[in-house]
Amino acid sequence: MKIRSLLVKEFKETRIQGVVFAAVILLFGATSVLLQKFIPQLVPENLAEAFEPSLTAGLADYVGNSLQMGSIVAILITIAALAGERETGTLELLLARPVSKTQIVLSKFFARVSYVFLGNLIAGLVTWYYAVYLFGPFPLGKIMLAALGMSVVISFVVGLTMIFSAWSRSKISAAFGSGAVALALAILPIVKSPYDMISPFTYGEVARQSLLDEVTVTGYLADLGAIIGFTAFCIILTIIIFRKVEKIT
Amino acid sequence: MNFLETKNLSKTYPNGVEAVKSLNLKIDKGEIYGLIGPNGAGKSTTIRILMGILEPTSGSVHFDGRSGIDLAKTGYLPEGANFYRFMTIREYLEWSCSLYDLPDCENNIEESLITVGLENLRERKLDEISKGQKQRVGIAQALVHDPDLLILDEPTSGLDPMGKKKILSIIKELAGQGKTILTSSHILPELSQICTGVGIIKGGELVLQGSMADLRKEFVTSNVELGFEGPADGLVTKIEGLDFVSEVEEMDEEGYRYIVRVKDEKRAKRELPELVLKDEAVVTYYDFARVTLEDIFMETMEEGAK
Repeated sequence: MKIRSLLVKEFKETRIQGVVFAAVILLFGATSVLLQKFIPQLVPENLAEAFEPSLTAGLADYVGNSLQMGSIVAILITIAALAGERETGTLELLLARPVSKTQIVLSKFFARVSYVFLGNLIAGLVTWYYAVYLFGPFPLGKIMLAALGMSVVISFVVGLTMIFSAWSRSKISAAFGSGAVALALAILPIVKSPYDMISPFTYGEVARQSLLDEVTVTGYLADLGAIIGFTAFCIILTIIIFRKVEKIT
Repeated sequence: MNFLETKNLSKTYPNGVEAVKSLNLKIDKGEIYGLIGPNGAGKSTTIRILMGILEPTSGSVHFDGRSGIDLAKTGYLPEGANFYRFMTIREYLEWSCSLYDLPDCENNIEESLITVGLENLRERKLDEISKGQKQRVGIAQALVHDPDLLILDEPTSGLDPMGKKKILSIIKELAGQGKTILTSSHILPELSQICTGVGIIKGGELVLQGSMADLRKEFVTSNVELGFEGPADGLVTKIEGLDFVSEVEEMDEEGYRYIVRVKDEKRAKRELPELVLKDEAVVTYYDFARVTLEDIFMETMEEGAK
């Protein structure tokens, strides 16, 4: 009952951010397929030959763009989760209710993650529609697997930002902290660092692989499990920090 | 056992500031207890510890015979409270009530709205109401689960005289319903109108505590201000010798104006004018005033400073 009330409040409070997230994912993700098809018609004729429309490339762009822009927007919609309530002074009253800090953190996390999944689902469906319309038949299941993978990766970014939101006194410092750590973790697999296994973004590659039949079911589930593990660690850390920070200062 | 009690409550912040030092508050059931102190005295820190928001460095809180506060039986209004601006007053109260797992919130919400006089503004958005109305919403949300104890931190802060009057009358009405109320303020005349018990806090320490009646007994009950045309040393010595006078204080360097602090108001009213009129000294000013909570507070603060 209490967690339901907390969740309802979070859904209402973040509904605009949820719409923004869906819109950004849709714009930068789903339009990748459209651009792939129509870029040859948009560039000068002498350059058009260099652009060979390809569904594979379009879908790879869809995953890449969705992950990048989705992660940035996920930070922006999450920084206010606890730091924002602290800034506006509403947290004081929330803490005076008979609800646990764990319930508060979980309600904030799951409300935002729900929007992440919903946004990716919508963007995935629209992408599939245009993929079929512009390039011919393509299995919906593969795009949904990619959307699920991206949702899980972006949920990790939400969890990571929750840590900084619990720690910081202001939204700006929460944004800088989580942005810097997310960027550092995202760079590890790109530069092929030997430590890239500590980055959830390494396992996020599974979203693209699932589109191109480059991963087995076991591999897909294992990678998703790894990212969920990282996210769970972030949430546990958030709860510990939130408890500590609020009790001391 | 008091209804709400703290035992040697202390709080030192990580930066080394000792905000609360060995505080022993004692609040009886049904009391309106005023926690008074200047800004930065440790009132809000104490209240935040009472509410379980802040952890004390040492000491304990006891509520209704049990260790720790029971949030389900406590209503809280923090200083400068803010609410979720996207909700209406009704939505906010509904949401607040839903966090207490009560079988029926409708009646509680209605009663809270009527108590604070906001029943006609229930559909108003929280970002569209005045500061005074906001404070009343704050009290309504603290009442919505029908708590036994209300903790109100500076409830009249920043309000106009009408707003203050309204809040004070609400607090009085709630005490009449049997609720125990702990309220803090640095504006003393306000609290003296409503409080039955007082705790004066300074530099994190409780320097004085008791019922208003006891404090008046313990402290001088009245002040008589006297002014003379010239020196009146002889008369002052006679006044100092009266057994109902606790102190005579010079008010200016020339020594022509004095404050006589008296313990027995009735005798002072009867005997002091008689003595003054009999003396040769020419009286230019005579004023009799009952001691207010503000006088007690100022006296306590000055004693601490000495």
